[in-house]
Amino acid sequence: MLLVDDEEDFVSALAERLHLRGIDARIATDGEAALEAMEIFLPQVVVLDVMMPGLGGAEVLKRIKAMHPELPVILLTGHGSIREGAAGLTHGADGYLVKPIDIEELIDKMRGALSGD
Amino acid sequence: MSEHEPKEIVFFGKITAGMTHEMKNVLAIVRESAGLMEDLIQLDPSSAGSPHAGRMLVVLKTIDEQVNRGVELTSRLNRFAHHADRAIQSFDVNDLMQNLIALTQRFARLKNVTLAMVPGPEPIMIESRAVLLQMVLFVVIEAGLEALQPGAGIEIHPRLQADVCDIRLHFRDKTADPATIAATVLDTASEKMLGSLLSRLGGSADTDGGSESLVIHLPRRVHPPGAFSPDR
Repeated sequence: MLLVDDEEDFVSALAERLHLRGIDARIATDGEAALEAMEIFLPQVVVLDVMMPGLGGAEVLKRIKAMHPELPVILLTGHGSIREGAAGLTHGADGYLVKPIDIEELIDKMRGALSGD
Repeated sequence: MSEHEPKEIVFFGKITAGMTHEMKNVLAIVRESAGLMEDLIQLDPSSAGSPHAGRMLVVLKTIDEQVNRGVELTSRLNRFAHHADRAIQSFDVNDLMQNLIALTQRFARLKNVTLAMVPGPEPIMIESRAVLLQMVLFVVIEAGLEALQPGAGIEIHPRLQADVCDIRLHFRDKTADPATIAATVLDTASEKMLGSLLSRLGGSADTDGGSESLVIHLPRRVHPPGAFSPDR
């Protein structure tokens, strides 16, 4: 799994929690770093924050889907961007969660996305 | 012709909405960090013998509960802030009132007065000035809190009657007659510019012929200044 969020404290803690649950999660703290990381390691699923400085989540989603149309992408939104989360579904995202997230819900969404639900 | 929200309101709305978004990020970090601590205690075998494990799990549960409380408050504030995006908009009066009541509970709690809403059975959609309507309700609630004694209550009932939305406020106070309280609240609120605020909404307020309630009457659709109103 690749976790992409500009809040490093959030994404580091989340990655460690996923590791404790046997899930290999790597992190990127901006859009460019995420796309570069994907040239080296192709994750099974990407969890992507919608609102990031620089290359925003919407553009990263677009570029991921252009390169890997079948790769599931789950968006993370704040309440102010629930519309962006829902809009993201029409641009190919496979789900979205509103921050702060529940880790079990994230794992369910990930499993659902991987099984094509 | 579209009407624009005053620049000051738009400014406050934008800053507030932006900051609630930042606060949600903070809460997300707190939740994940506390969750990690909980995981390390529960999932890592090397932590099993920690003498404070039980106490720490209780404290972490408190942190999570307060995160939930923070999320609720920032979500409410975000919704409030976004009402400043447009001067006139369509909204459900039930939702608007519930959000405003959640944001004003603290004022009521400080006076030891209960503040509650009985929503209408169906959505009450109107096209009006959401910020101004909330201001009107706040002026009335504030006047009510001044008039009521500790232990009293304010109950708000929004209802749709044909093309008019009525928002009825009942004031319950064991130490005073409800009709007298309603009249006093209307007078106090009128001193706080209730009339001029309501006129911009095309609305009015009265005590419904001396009943025990103060009633705010609103048209289902407010018209920008200068626009033709078939109701006039």
